[in-house]
Amino acid sequence: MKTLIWKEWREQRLFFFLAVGIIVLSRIVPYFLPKRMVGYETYAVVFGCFILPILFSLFLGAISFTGEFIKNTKSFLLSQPLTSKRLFWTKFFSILVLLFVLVLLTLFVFLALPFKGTVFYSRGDWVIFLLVPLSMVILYSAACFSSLLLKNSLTAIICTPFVLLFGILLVLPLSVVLFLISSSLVVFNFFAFSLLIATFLIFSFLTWQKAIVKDVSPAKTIFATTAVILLISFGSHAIANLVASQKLNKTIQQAKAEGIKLTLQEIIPPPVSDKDNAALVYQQAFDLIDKLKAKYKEEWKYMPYESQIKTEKLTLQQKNVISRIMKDPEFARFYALLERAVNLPSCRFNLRYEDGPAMLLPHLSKMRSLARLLAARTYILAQEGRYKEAMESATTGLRLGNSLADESILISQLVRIAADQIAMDSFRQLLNNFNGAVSVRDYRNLISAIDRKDKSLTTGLEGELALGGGYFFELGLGKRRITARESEFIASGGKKNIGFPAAIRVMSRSFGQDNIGSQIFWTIYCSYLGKPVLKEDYAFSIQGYSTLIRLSQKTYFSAKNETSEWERKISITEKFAAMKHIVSLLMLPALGRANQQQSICTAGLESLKLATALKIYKQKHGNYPDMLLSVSPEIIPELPLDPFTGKDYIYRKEGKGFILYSVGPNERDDNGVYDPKHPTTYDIAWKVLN
Amino acid sequence: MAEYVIETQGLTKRYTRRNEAVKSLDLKVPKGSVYVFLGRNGAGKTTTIRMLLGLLQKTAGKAEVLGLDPDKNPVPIKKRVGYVADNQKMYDWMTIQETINFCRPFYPTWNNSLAEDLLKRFELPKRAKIKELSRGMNGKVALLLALAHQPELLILDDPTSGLDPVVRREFLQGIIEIIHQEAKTVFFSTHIITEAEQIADYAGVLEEGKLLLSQPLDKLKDSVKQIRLIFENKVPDDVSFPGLLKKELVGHELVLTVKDYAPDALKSLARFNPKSTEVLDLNLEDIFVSLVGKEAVA
Repeated sequence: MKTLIWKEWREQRLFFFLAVGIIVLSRIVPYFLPKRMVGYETYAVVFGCFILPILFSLFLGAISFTGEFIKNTKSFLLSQPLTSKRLFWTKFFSILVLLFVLVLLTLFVFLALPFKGTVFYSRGDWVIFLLVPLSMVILYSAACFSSLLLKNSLTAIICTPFVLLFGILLVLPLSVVLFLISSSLVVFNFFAFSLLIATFLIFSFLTWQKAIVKDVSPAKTIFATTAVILLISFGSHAIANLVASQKLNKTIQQAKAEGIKLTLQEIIPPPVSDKDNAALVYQQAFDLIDKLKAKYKEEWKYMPYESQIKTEKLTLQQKNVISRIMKDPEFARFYALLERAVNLPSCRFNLRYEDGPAMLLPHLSKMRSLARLLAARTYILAQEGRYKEAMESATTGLRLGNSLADESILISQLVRIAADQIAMDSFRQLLNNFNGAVSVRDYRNLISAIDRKDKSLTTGLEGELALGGGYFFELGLGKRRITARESEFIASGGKKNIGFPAAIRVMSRSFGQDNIGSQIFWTIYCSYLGKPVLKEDYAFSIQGYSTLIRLSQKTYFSAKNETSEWERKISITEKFAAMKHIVSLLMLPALGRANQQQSICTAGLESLKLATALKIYKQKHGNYPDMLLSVSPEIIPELPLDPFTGKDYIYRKEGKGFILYSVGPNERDDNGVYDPKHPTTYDIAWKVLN
Repeated sequence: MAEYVIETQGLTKRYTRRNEAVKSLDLKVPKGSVYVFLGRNGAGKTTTIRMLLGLLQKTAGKAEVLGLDPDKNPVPIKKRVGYVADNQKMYDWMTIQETINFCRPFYPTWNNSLAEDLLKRFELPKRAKIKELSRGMNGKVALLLALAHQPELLILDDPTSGLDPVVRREFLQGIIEIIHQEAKTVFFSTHIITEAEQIADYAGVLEEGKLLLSQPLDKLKDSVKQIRLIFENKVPDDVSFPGLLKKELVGHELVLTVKDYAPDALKSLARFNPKSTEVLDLNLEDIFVSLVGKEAVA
């Protein structure tokens, strides 16, 4: 053995010293380059991590075996009383050690040595020192196989990329399986690297044994081995695919049993008759607003419609302008239409659910604008002392959101929450100004409006599963074709006919990763090879949405532990899990935050209900009660609990008024501090001065 | 089996369907013999030898070398056999000493003093690099490496091919010396017959992958003869003889080369009325040419 290793070293030492010279020279070059020409970091990475290691691997792989053919020393070597196996492995590993030394030396010289006082390697980059040499072993093995097959170094070097591609394609299905069963990225990398190295080693060894040792054509052996590897690779992939299918089917069945909607067809709301459809009335309102906009042109800019302008921050003159517009009979007609719409039993805007995430939702911004207009109207009415009308206007605003409650689209539900928040802000001002102008009946109306509010995101989440996750997965699994609207959506990215399947383009565009790398990823992901991962991802997605839907039906407090456990599970920092469930995780985390928004809204609504009950109590008893308990069951049947603590809302009398609040998502009593700009930071409070 | 160091039955090597290098070879090399394996270039000698050493996989048949199957036990065979390949190339960057050092650990029976002795006898400079050596010297180094581990069987595959006559003689002398001293079995392939005749006691002739004959050399010489018949008139067309290899007609003289000569058979020629009948002895080269020459009858 020693003598064989000595021989290999003597044969390759010239190359070794030459390579060391090249490393040193390449390291010195940047000192002489003009500063602006290239950044050292780029140079170091390109040269140190890629060019030099690749060159060394290719050359050493290609010359290690061919030297024996070129110099015709093969017969002499093989005539020695050594097994051909030993000759092969000694040769392979001796040169591999040399390669390792060269690659590590390159990495060290380029990354760990300081350049003009800066070191570009940090301790966290140790993985480079593992991944680069391992990648080079793959390249070296491929070059060995190529050289044994072609018996010529130059041709071997030229053909190595193709050999490499051949090996990768061969084991790709098995790699997908390994990806699924690996517990971490390190384990997967280990598996994938080992698999490729083993493949090339098997081919190299068999070629050596047949073509070199026994002088027999290796074609049959290579074909047979390829067939066996293909069989194992595709066989295991097929099994993984089957297992993933079963898991997915089971998950789908389970979800269906839980009543979760999975397909677009299930979430499309049933048709409604025109006379019951509030959407048609809203459309009239939108048209009317357009007319008003055209009529008032310049003055309209003070209207909080399609702008974030705050009415209370306008000057008196500007407020007067708004007041004038609101007194226009057309505006009165507009308000009457809104009152009619919020009282209709159903609302269905003309939405194309079949377009999936490409669906247009132009009504949402308009609905939000309507909420702002109503809030402005409430403010102006209150300013003018018309509290009763203001109260009615604010209550109409609160009902506005209900028109979106049936839309199985998460964003629609978020707009509903936003509209509710806008309406609630109106009451913040009103509660301090009513002073008897509002009757108990009006208060009761408000309580009943609050009671009718949808206080969960369930509908939106169900839709999101079908529209988002389910939509992509169905595209990926080839269960549905892309629609014309999606084609436009893809084309709007400016890259037409890029040659990838439509599903991939939709995914790439949707996730804002419209580059070649991500397209290759999505190509594999959406191809037959990616099916098991896709199915696993889909199953995970359904489980995830099921969990979220279940959690959305609970109060924030009771779902808290489960939510944080879930958040941890889907944390994107868990990189490998994120890779396995990439489509799921690209959408799921946002939903967790949406649940929080809903809870803030719920806390706001319920505490408003309590504040209203307290107002009624005062009208009946002349003062506010000492304890919150006093309003139930006299005014409301039962006391709602703070969703963030599961306890009573905090209430105390202050001066002539009171303060009532939920501690908010930070779960800390901030003494009733409320900041409308940062609703998650402080408490959700109602402060009434009289 | 023990009496033969090499024994094959139906040994066949087929590279492709049409290219059959060795055809059902039945070869027996007795222990202690010096067996010369004759054949023209491309007759299949090297292929046979490579199969015997397990360097080439046989297509069919059986082979045993020192009682072992070369396909199953190539390493034990190589340890016990000294082998000099046809135009053997060693690592030209090594010196002679380095080449010896390289090979020595592979053979448990390596004899250092024998190696030293051979170095002296062959007048080989230890420090000379292989690439600096003449072809003759190169052959001697190969022979030294084949002999220094004291093999039971020496297989030499055309070791003198490409050498000039002087070097060839020198090289051959070396082999003769060894044979006489060590009494080894030598399997010696060559296409230069005169040198084989000096050392061989057995001969086998291979032609297009087929073994035409395999006999002790003296027996071969006894059985292959030339019979010269001189006629007064026209030479009859129908002259025949058992085991006739070649028939040459020169004027009134007819020369028959036969492989199974027996004095009694001469009587059968009397009916053709030759003026005179003469039996001539043949040397190995003549026999070889008679067997494989283009004019051969057989």
